[in-house]
Amino acid sequence: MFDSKKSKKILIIAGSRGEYGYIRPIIREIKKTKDFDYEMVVCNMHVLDTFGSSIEEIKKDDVKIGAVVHNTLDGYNRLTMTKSLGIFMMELPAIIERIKPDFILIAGDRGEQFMAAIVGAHMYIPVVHIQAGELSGNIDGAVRHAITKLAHIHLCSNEDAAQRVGKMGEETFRIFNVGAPQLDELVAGEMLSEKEVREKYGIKKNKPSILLVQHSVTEEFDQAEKQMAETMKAVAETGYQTIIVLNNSDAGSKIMRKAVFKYRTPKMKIFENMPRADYAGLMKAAFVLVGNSSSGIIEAPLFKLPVVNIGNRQMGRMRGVNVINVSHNSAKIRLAIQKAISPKFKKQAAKAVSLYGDGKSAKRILDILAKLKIDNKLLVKQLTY
Amino acid sequence: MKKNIDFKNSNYIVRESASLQDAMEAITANHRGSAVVIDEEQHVIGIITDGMIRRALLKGAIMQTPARQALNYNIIFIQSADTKTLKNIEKFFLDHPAINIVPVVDKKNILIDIVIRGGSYEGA
Repeated sequence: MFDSKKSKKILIIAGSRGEYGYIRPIIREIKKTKDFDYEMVVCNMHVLDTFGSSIEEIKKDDVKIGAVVHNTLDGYNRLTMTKSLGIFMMELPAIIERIKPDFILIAGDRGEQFMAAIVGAHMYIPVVHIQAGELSGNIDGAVRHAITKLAHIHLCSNEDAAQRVGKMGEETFRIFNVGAPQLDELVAGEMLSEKEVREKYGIKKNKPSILLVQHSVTEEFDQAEKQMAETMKAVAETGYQTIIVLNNSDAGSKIMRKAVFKYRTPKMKIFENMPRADYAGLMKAAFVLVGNSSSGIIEAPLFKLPVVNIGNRQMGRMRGVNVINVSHNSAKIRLAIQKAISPKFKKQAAKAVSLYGDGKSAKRILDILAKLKIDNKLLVKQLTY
Repeated sequence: MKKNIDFKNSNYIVRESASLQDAMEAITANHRGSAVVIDEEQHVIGIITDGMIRRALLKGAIMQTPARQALNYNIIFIQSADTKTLKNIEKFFLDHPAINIVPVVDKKNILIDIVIRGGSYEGA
């Protein structure tokens, strides 16, 4: 039976950079209270780059790491991606058996999170899913909704997503609109100042600057190099100073790198990985964000940052007036960049409002978990239709 | 400019998939403290130096870790069309006291030469 005096232990799964942005504000909040304890399972790309990268950032934050899983096979194609997930799923049950969490907290739409949902559901441990019900334009989207069918609590970042989860037949007591926790740190102002960013990344003030983040889209894997080439050509032609953040370990990431190094110019600076505080600072300092990162949809409105959103990856997500959508075509991308940095569009982007919450999500999430009774009602799922 | 580099045998070139050990061996042989890192298609990816390898090892890298994970992407390179800089390379090295080797690339960022402080490239 559940003992209300004991602190509840949350197991958190962290596989890639993006998710850690959702997770860190929650860990901060957990540290403030005695009601909760946590351990983190670190896997996939966090442990791939064994140094100077994301696991280092996690360690700096003094986070409790309960297990490190090296699951990702080299090759970065569809076969290795899928097999890597299988390895993670094989490792996880023993970790859960050892740590004995009260909840499993997962975030987003990546494969490792999905594996954790499968394992949690089968081991009858409540699975809590952040960023439920969003739309993402590829396999990630299917994975996100599959997680919904396995998860016990759905934490949505906006009303649209919450309604979608309801339409999937989930009971209303499981669904909460809490906003996007990755906005918490931004609202709290935890980022480099514009001046610090300019000094650290060598960006000249009053000259147009581009922040470029583009991931491969799994269904369009065979086009990934060409898609990146189109973007790189467009950005190179503008001649603006550009900061490129290289992509995840998805299928396609290796060949996208090729396009980066083929088309780069001396005006471009390339980074494998950067601390979130730096990335946030860059979003504040840059004139435009180009690519297909979800940060253009979720975080950019807070900075009133114009976004050129390329291709299908963010298709269907609620977006603000700061976003220009464009296909994978260098001429169109270049025109969209010019439009995005024009004073007229800057005025329009200034009107963007955050559609993904107010930056107080982490506390809201812990309040929900604190009140949650772990019983059959929670653990045995019913369809509403 | 004609391609005049022996990609296979140069001690100034390391592939991004090469290990830190390979990079260290190249740097030891070339006596310049650094080497140019290229991908399979000879695009210049970055530079790797003694110091970068040392820092990577301190952070937990092993000798078999790929050079890709320790290098610096953001380097100065000279475009082959920039004949002004290439003709007066002494001035370039005076202006950049910390640089010992500079990759020269064509329009597609493919490595076609390496300029070395104190003497031009001889396929060492």
